[in-house]
Amino acid sequence: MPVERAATGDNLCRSWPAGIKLGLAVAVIVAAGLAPEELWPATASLGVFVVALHALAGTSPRLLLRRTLQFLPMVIAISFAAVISRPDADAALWSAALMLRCLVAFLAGLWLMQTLTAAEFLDVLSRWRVPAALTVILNFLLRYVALLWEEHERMLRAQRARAGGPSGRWDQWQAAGERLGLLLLRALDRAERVHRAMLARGWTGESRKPSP
Amino acid sequence: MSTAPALELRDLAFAYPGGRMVLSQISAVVPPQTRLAVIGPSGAGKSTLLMHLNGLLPQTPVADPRDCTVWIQGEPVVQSRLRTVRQTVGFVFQDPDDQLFAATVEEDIAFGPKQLGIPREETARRVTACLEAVGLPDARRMHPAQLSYGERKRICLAGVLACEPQILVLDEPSSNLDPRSRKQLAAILRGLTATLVIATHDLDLVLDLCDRVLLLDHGRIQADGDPERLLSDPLLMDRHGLEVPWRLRPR
Repeated sequence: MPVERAATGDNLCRSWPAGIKLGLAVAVIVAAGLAPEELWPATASLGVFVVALHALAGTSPRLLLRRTLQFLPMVIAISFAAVISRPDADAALWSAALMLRCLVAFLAGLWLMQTLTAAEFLDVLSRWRVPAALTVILNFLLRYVALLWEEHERMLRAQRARAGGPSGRWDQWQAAGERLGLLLLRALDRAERVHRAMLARGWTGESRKPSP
Repeated sequence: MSTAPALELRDLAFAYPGGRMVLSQISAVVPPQTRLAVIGPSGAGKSTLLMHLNGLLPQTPVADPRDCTVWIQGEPVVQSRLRTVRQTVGFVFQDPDDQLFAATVEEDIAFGPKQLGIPREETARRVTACLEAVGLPDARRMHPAQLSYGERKRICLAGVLACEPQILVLDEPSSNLDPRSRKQLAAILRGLTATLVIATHDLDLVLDLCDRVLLLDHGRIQADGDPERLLSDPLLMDRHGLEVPWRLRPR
């Protein structure tokens, strides 16, 4: 899984306690979310702080730029919607501040993904007494997102292997739709098999902790 | 000590909802510590049969438990006994990604003992012992995605062994394994004292490991007996879409 590859590499932030890293990222996200729009310079400073964290973590500038560019259209769409919904004089400032907040939160999340493994993340959540149902769901998500991604890659390769894959734009969209549909079916099938494997090892529907 | 057979099937029949009969008239008695291979062409009903041994598929409800069609250690496999059944019968699935769902290998192996209410220290001891038994003592903190396919298969086995089952059911344990991983797996299985039930297409593994074979085709038992005798019968093998293993062919 790409997230795991980044998180298990060598960098300065890797050695920091997992709880500190998660706490720091959550604090940045909450602070960015709660900062009033007039305080946008403070939010921007938070952004600079997160970029500095990325530098310490050794995130490549190229990756940072690529991920930001992938995220940007969504932020712009949200900000645009905000401008339309508030036709007053402050709408532009409000929308720009919203965009800044989203970017800072996104970068903080990305930093966490670069420095924390899935196992460490779940471990911290358990220590913070996050409800077991939530950690179990997150656990499944983290485990199987990678597997579904691999499955998608295999389907994509198989499509391309047949005469170079779909040629026209419409064909490409159609093929992508077929892949997604098939992925959903395979995910459902996989879910059933995973559930069966859990039942075989005594799962009764509730998460148990070992007795002391 | 109980003299009951490890497994007993009494005229087992099964059809998936809305589907054709997958199993019919399946009867067999398997004494403890037998190493039983279930062979047959694809779609013969091998995996379905195995799932019945762990109570994973619904059986036709019976008014009297004595009419039950699957028996484990002399007790019927009924809804009220599923916990005990799953403690007694360990199931290793064909695809390791179906079985490994935890964030680390250690957590995954500990899952079964946790469900059985095993104390924390004993669970930790079992995790260490099982990782050593499958030859992967250093994989403890790894994410399943970081392991090779063969290693994941061995971790699946460790996860089931941690429940200390008396009967171990394995669905295609050697499929997609390279020769080295296959050899390692066979060595681990050979060292176990549990009753083994192995569904496989790998007839060399059957010859290496098993002392009895059930040949399944069209959902029915077509032959039951000694591996060398059955697997060296070219007519029988050909009739059921199988081939005599290379080492049993006349030179």
